Amino acid sequence: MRPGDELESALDERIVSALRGGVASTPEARERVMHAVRASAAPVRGVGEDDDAGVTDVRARRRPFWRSPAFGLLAAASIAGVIALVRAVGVEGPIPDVPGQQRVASRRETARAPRSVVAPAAAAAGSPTLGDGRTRVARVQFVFVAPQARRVAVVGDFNDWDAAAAPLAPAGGVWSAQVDVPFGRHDYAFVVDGDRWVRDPNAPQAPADEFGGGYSVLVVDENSGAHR
Amino acid sequence: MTHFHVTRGESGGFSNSVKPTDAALVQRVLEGDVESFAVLVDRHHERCLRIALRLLGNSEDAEETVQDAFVRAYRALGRYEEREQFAPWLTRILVNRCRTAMSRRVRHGKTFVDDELAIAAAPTRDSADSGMWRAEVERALAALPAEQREAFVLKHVEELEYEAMAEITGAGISALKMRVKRARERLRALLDGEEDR
Repeated sequence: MRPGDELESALDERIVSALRGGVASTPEARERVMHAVRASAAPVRGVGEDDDAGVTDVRARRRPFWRSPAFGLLAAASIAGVIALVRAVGVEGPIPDVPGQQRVASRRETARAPRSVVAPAAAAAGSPTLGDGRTRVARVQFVFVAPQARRVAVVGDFNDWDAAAAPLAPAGGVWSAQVDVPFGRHDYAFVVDGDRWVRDPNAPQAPADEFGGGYSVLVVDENSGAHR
Repeated sequence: MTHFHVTRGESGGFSNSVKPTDAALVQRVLEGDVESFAVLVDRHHERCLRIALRLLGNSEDAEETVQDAFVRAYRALGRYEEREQFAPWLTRILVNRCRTAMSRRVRHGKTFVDDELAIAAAPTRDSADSGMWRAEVERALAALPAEQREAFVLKHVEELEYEAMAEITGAGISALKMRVKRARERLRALLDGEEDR
């Protein structure tokens, strides 16, 4: 044991001893784990979809949204304090170049109100899951206009409501991030300055649940890419 | 390639005297033998449950989080590097899932509460007095800031080296040492006098 590592008193020893005991794994609990494992998609050598162990797939970044014509349209319209934009910028699977899967260009939405715009990606052929059972994802760009904010993140079902998972990068008061979102319906919100939860003002609101609910709703599917 | 004839007994043991390494079991899983993952679950479940229970303070959340961590580890197994040890790799996933569970609990407006029923129901071979002392320690641990609680549990309950803790938590070694030191001091302050009751 190194200097500084040691427990310094009998009280320390009693504390640690108490915390090391009192926990027992049961065969039933382990079987519940295996039941969930067997129901899960099998691992594929060289491929992992989990990011908890630092194994996130890294994909090429596209042109930042604030350098696109769509941003100019939005910036001109952003006289209100906050604008939230959810924009699907492409549809792709967990790994590139999977047969039957195509990268698609995004297109701007011009028919919606300027404070909240959805730009659905073109349809991608195929089902929400790939042939090996893995879930397809779409890259969605989240943009949030908040000149006074010190930091902004997007949280939702797709990142376990982890405010550290998808921080938005600032550019002149406009915050944006591209996030890979699995096909399906997701609740989401923006977190401003770490403690202020803000709904997308123009997105549908999820029904209240036992926790209060009221989050914004985003749908990513093969027909429209992403829409709210 | 080394092959092992593995038969799980009631205790999760093996029918022969040679126990495959974790890395060998991972290989077998990647070759399609999902039941070899059960051996990994048998080996690591109790340690994971202890970490999750100490970090989350609630047995139901702990069991759910451990299950989630194993499922995520299974799905990510294709990226597991053989040069890496399975236990710290799994622990890194588990600690991240515990952090997520804690942040979700904050989102849902839940406060960190100790779960006295769960503590009382937890299997223990200790005496009733020890059970009461453990409940006091659990309460004090729950009162620590999450970062200090995490560092203390990994250092003194799981007896990890600071280098391993840094790998698991993503924090620097000096920061971890400070968190452990402050956790020790805070626990002493909270529990000094309680042990005689």
